[in-house]
Amino acid sequence: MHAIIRPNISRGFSALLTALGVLIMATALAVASAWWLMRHPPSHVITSGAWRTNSLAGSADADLYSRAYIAVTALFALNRSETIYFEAVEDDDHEPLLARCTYAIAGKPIDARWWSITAYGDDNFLIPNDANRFSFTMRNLKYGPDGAFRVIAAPVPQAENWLPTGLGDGGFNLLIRLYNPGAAIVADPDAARLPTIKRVGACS
Amino acid sequence: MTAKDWIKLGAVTLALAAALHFLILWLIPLAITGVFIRRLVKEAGYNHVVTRPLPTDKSREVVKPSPDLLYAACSFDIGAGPVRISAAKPPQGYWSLALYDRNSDNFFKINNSEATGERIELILGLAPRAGDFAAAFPSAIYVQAPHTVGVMLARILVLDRAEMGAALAAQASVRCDPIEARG
Repeated sequence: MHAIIRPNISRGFSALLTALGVLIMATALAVASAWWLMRHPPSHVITSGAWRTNSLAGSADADLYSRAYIAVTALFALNRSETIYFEAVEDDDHEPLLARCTYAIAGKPIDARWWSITAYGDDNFLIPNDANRFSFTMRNLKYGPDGAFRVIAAPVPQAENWLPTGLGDGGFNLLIRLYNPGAAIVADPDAARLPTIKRVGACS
Repeated sequence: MTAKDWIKLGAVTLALAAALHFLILWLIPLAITGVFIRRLVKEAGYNHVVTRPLPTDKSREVVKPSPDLLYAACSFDIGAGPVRISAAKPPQGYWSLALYDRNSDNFFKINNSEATGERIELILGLAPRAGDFAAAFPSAIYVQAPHTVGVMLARILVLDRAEMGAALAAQASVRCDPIEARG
């Protein structure tokens, strides 16, 4: 009797362990691949310099990857006909944006009913700062005589158009919102002629 | 185990991983939107508007809030019948009403350039019943929602502190009201 039961128990335990191993391995693969592809969706991402946008943000036509990424990073985005969101997580030299460094964001007014540039921390929330300055809009920016603007994203106060990046040691990201963008931009978001992002000076 | 067994095991693992991969991606927007819906419902119930001041670094309800927009939101539930969403248009600036499905898809939006009249009225229902409400709500736009539950989000732009009074009034005018019981 014992001789019959023991091998069965042993085989059952071994099968259970194998099934558990398969489940753990499959879950790890699924989570890792979903996370990577969500961050690097296979299509519909349009880049313009350091800026990128997903043309299917907010849309019912969004693929699984785009929808999941938007839900995580910009829940309740409007669709492209209403608003185009351009995100930058690195500068023009493809270096990650760091809160302790200073960046010049330089460009010209963008063709949209209204637009803004906002800085967010690594956690995608607004960055605490004593000036309570979280963004610049087309209206409160100071422009040069040539009509161009230069926003300085930095941890410490700047002479004008200072966008605080916080006193932390981590990264930050920038978001340009174009509400009711011009028809040319809706057709081709790359036509927006977005500002350049250059690191200036040493990091603190 | 033989080599054939290992190949079989690898194939099963990959097939299971592929199924879980798509399940996770499908669940992420549903789960995140679901958390937001439940939070609003806990605070005010279904079909009741919740308002917030201009977002700051203390605002932690939704990622990447715009610090230049006043928001008003309601979790709608049209399972018991259509809901009327209405708001007064601010005299100037940007303003919009957007409707989101339970998976965060933006299935309808209207802004103050597109809306006519001083108030905007939407009737949100599940079935194509625009004709049923034409007499009672002649100026309303009938919107068919893909599912029973979702989110209405109003955005009111504040480009200048001088506009704050008008923007707050516009925010306070946003309403979600059930208009009939299941019958």
